[in-house]
Amino acid sequence: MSAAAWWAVGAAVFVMGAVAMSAGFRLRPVRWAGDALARRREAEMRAEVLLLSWLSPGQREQYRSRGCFDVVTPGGNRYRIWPWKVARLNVRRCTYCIEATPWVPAADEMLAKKLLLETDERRFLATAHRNR
Amino acid sequence: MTGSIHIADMQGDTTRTWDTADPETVREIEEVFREAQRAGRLVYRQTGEGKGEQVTLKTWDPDEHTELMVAPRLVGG
Repeated sequence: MSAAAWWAVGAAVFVMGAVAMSAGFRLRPVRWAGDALARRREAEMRAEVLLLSWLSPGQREQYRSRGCFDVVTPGGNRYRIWPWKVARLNVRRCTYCIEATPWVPAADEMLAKKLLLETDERRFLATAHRNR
Repeated sequence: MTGSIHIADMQGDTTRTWDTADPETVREIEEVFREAQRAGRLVYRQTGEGKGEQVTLKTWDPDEHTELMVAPRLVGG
């Protein structure tokens, strides 16, 4: 191969390497975001397994089919727990906003709300913000 | 008797186990209780199918209460 051909091959390799490196730098944030999403999804799946292990068979079925479940407090009040809100079923248009801090997956938060309602409804009502 | 405690966190949960034959593991769980109390978090034990009950370091029996959960702190939204 002639010297010119060697130069051409070298230049081509250099250009391809530069393009690949540049693409790698540009793609790094995308990869980080993808990793963060994957970790979050894994956390949500773990939390869901825990939630399901603490639900009654009826609640489990309701959660699987509708994404929410009902709890009945010792005082006989009925609430429906959604990932983003809690609604009192025996009082019309009565919803509560209560959230976990710091952030945990939605299923962990739903489990905390269920357990608080079933064991200490007064504390739940004292903590939650009632929407009107 | 062995048991496990699930601590709700950003990863879903972190699970710690204890064995009453190994007092060191029980002491570690007691420390989890103290930490939860300091952070204003409630600890529950599973009492049956779909049921739970609040448990504190004082009322916890490592031989009987073998499935625990540290709930996240809840605040009004």
